[in-house]
Amino acid sequence: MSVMSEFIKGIYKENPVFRLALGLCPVLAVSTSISNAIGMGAATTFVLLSSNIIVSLLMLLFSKILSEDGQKSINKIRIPMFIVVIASFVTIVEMVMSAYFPILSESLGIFIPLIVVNCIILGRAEGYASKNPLIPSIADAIGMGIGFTLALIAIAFLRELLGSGTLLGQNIMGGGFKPVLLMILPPGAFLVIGLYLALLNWLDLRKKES
Amino acid sequence: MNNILRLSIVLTIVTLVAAFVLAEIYSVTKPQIELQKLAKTREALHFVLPNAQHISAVTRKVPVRDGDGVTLYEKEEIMFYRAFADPDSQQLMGYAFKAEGNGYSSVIETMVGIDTAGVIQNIKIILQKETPGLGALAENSDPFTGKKWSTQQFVGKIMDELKVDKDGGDIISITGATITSRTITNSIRDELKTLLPQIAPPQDQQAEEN
Repeated sequence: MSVMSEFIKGIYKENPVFRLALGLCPVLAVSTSISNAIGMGAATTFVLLSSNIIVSLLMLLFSKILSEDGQKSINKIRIPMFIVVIASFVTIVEMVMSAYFPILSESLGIFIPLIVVNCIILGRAEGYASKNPLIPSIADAIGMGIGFTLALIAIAFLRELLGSGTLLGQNIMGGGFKPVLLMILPPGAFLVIGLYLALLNWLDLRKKES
Repeated sequence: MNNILRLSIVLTIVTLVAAFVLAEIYSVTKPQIELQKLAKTREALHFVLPNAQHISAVTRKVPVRDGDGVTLYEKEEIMFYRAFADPDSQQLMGYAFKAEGNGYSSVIETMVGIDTAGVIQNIKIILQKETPGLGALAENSDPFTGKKWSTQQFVGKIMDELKVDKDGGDIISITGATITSRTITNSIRDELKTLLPQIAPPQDQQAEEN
């Protein structure tokens, strides 16, 4: 049951974007369309899952082969190790994406390499995977990844609908609709994130009162 | 001392493994990435010169120098493309070239096709990262109606006609993105200005021979 709850918490209770307010920079930048949101979400989830697995295994390995003293000293270089692991996976994603999904890699551009410094990933490696066994770490990564992707899609849904009058590139607002340019510019992202945060907080408060 | 040694060894192993994995994946994806780039260029060439069946690149050797000005080696650089009706014929149909300029927030690259007289056949934006909803609309190639920006409006224009409306020409610029429109127009004009004299000589020679 606990594995399940580790998985579920990332989606709503500890949603990385709306609850932990982590990784907002890529959220602002790539939530202009739903297809970008899905691509970025998938890339981040992959990196998150891979780095959580490796970090969890590394820590297991160290606890097996090193004395207590050794483990303590290894702790000093854990952040550089996590960053090497994360950066490697991000580079893999970038290379594979530009080889096999050129259109997506073009529209995501610089934000793929910047996953390296996305605080969700280092945050989960440091705060969760390094202290927990493999299976819960996998559940945590998938849950957080899906939570991040869903948050991106929720923001991109409003921004794409109002900002370009389309959903997944399909025109649905009709010819007479004049797109609200502000929504696909950075201020639109701040507005939408703020509105969602307010909505979630309001729902929480109402639950608490009743 | 023992401690420093241990930390160094662990970190070295981690980075070595990462480097090995990355090198492997790089060697797998590299050819595919090159292929994607080639396919993109070819697609753009066929778009701007739809009737040409055979397109060959005209290159020039650019010396690569080191700090002391000693030529290390010569790099081949594509100057422009020659278009022929079919692989066997010597009948020139026109030329294609890349124009490049600094837009509002990015470098804009445009593929331009011209006929032998220097009249633009078509253009295609191949690289831009301008503001979504404003400058990014530059890629739009809806049929040109005479009121809105479209890349179609460049069809049939010659070098001296390339000026945006704000500069007194008749290229309709994008509302709210004059800089982007101006960059595209001017970069094509400048490139034509430098290329046309270089393209012309063989034609003169032919005329003399005849």
